[in-house]
Amino acid sequence: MPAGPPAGPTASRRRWSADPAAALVAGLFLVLLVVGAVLAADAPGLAVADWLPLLGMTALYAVTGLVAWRRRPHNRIGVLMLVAALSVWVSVLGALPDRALSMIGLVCSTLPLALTLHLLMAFPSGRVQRGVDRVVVGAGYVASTVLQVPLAVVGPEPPAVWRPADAAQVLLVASWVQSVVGVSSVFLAAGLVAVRAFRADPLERRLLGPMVWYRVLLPVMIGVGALAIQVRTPLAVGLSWLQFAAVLGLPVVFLVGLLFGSFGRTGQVDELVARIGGATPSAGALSAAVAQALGDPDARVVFARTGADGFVDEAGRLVPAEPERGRHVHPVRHGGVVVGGIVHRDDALADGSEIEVVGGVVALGIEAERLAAEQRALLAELRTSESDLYASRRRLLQAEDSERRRISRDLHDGAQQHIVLLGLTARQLSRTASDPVVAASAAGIADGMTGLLTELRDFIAGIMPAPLVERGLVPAVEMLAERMPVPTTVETSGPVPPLATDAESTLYFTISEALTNVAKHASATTARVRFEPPAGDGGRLRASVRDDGKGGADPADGTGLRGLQDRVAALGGTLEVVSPDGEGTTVVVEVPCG
Amino acid sequence: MRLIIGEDEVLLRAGLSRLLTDEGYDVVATASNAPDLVAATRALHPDLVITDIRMPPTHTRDGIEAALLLREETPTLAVLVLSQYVDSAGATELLGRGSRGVGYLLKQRIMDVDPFLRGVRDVLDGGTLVDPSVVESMMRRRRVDNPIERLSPRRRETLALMAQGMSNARIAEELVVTEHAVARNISAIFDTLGLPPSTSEHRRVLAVLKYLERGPSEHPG
Repeated sequence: MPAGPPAGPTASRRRWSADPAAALVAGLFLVLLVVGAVLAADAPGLAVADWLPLLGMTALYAVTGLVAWRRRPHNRIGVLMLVAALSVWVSVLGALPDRALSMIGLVCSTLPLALTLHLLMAFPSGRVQRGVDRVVVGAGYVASTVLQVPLAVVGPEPPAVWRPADAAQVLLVASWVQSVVGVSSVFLAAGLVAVRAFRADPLERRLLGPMVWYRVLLPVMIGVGALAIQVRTPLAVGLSWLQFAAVLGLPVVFLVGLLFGSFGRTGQVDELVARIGGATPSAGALSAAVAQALGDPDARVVFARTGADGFVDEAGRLVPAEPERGRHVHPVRHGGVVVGGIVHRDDALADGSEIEVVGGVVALGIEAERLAAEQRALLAELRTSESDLYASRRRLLQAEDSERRRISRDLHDGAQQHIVLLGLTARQLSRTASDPVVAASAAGIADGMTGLLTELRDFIAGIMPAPLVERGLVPAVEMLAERMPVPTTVETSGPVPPLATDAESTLYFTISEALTNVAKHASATTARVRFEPPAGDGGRLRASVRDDGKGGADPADGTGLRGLQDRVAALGGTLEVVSPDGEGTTVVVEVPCG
Repeated sequence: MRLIIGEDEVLLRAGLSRLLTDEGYDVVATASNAPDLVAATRALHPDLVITDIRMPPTHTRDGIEAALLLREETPTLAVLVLSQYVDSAGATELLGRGSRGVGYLLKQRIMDVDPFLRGVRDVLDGGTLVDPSVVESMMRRRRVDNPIERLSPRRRETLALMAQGMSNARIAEELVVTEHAVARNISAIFDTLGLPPSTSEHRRVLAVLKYLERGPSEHPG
């Protein structure tokens, strides 16, 4: 049982203003109809009966096509109807005295029949999918256009373009060829539809509906009409009017079938699926698709609350069971769980099964929307944890750095001073002891203390060098350069801004490691350390160590820089080693300032 | 001779104080931080200030800054600074403001009691004392583009010993040559470095400064 059209005048008005495409097409056809009527009325010797029925047919196809197109935008039947309307209008031109216009009109005069055939074969999906169907439709087009050309050019009707001596002969052959191709294609179409209707299982038959017989009869009538004209029987005139009436009925029958027939309901669902599946579903898109499917412009989708009864709208507002007078929430289930609901007008639904079908599709849409939302949340979480990871890596580096500084300071102020004191005491003892054995032992201890102190100082330098802590990065690097076995210069392109302590020590250790590599492996004669602070505030400080040695260093080859790479990365900086064979090695480290 | 000791580590301060007292010096005050050291020196006018570079309050270069300030106020005051590590830039800074009665030693030299006490005496006598490690480091730093580079190794060695405040006799002893040979080498050094003839003492100081004072222009930042 079809659902009654729910849209009142209000809804219609709103639909026109909300649908500029439909308004444009409607306007276009209105103009065409007026132009056609004016041209035909002015033409001398043209009876009203010759053109008015054709313009009427144009209007009928245009209106039904427009409705079908807008109500089922994803089904091509509507568009095909509009094209058919256009072809009928063009065929009117054939009766006009203007030579060019009439030529176009004559060539196109049987095009509406080919489009009718196309419509018959394309119903209900709007697509001609099987090969044989395509051949039939194609043959229809060939017969109505290519094979029409000789008739239009040589034709019996004035104005003929070209009239050879044996015109009658040519015309006869051409018209027979056209008739044979055209008629056999329509009969074949009728046969195909009929055979399929017989073979259909009950469900298919229900979907195809009673109009399947119309779809068999119409091509038969068209074929018979064409043959009657060809053999010039007295019945021809009557048959051609019957054919006209049958073709006139086609758009109406199809529109009704498309919107309200048994197929109509699945058409709505198809449409809904197409719309929901067409894009990333959002609450707004879901609501619009449901409104369209139910023919209820105010129908909308709401969502089930998690962990509580009731529904919320897309903004998270609670929706009562009866949001407005005469409207209820119909729950939508997915996997037995209520995932959402459809707010609809109670009287919009004549059949409860319709909303169940729509609800099933909506459930999938809501589920997809929920999954998309979950994915978004997951992605956001991932981004957060990524930045958390960066922050925690930096905190670890900072913690390690401050711990190194603390240990170094403790050793410096504690152990080192004590060793100096003990060494001093032992030395004094060695000077003043009267027993030469004691004096010698004390001297030995004092010497040992000197060695111990040197070792301790090297050890502290490895943890956190005192010059770095006390003097800062550049002076500390200068002190490194002084100890280099190859002459090493240190230059800066501008004042180096203060750095975070962990950044400072990371730079220092990187430069120190690079210089150690120069001394050990590079066979260099000179080396250069260069600091390039950023021009403005912020930015990155760049430090490079370059030598004129043999190059060819593999940064991944256990140079000790690899371990530092992690520390540099934790600062958000970069470490790069460029070492072409024979052209020296350059280590470049960059860290953000501030 | 009156002196003041600046050292924040209490046991070491006591040990140093006893060592110098035993040696016959009059340790008139000790200070555990830089401001106290400056205040005590201003109040007591000692002949020599011995101070650790690293001292409170900032634990960085408070000692050397105090020494520089005091030298500026009293150019005749002898200062001996003790450093934890080789800092030739720091040494240059100290010696660049006048090298009479100035010493710069690594702290660990205290343990070599006799050389240390000799150094204290030299500085009090107006000599210049630079730690051998610091001199070595300076020599390295100045290898690039330096007239000292033109000196023979033996003469460079001689210059290094001069920079440590050694007399000709001590340098001769150190290098196991005659004092006459040392004097000839020193004369050649003066020529190489282009130092004008004047009192030998003054030229010695200039020769030492020749490679100590080149620092700042070469090392921006």
